[in-house]
Amino acid sequence: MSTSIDTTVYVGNIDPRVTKGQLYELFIQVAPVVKINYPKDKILQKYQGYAFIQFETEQDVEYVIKLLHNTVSLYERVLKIRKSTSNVQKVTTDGNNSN
Amino acid sequence: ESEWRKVKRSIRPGKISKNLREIMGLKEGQLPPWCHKMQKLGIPPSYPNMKVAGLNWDIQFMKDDIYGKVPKSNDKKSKKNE
Repeated sequence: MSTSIDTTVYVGNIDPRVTKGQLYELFIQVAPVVKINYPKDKILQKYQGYAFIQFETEQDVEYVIKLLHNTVSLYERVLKIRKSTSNVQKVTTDGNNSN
Repeated sequence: ESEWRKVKRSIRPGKISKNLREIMGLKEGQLPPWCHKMQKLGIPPSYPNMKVAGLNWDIQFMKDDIYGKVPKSNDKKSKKNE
């Protein structure tokens, strides 16, 4: 588990209307997706505009960032993608927060 | 959860649903924006056999929601269209 940070990207500037399924569909286009953590605000029940997406290898991460950072717009908002550096990546423990 | 699994099954690289195309602002017959970058960066490292229309696949193969494909050569499932 100590290496999962190295295979995870942070995706920002996500329009809250974007669903987890859509993120999955988008990122699987360029690399196999292991896990998506797409937190919702607990009170407002609204996505918070960012996600952590885990891939299989560091090579995938490099490629995904180069290929997709500032490349794709969803609802006219350009996705920002960078390496996940945080060790305190918020893992939602209260069950699944998908649709 | 089972619905999520169902969604996952219909998704594959090289194919973008109408719904995702819409929110990306992709027009009919338009390649996804990362395809041009693939010219420089190459095919995805985890999909070494991927075919992308206009890149290493005839642009005529682009149709509806399909712009590329990943041949299932090392998949357990049959090797159709190979």
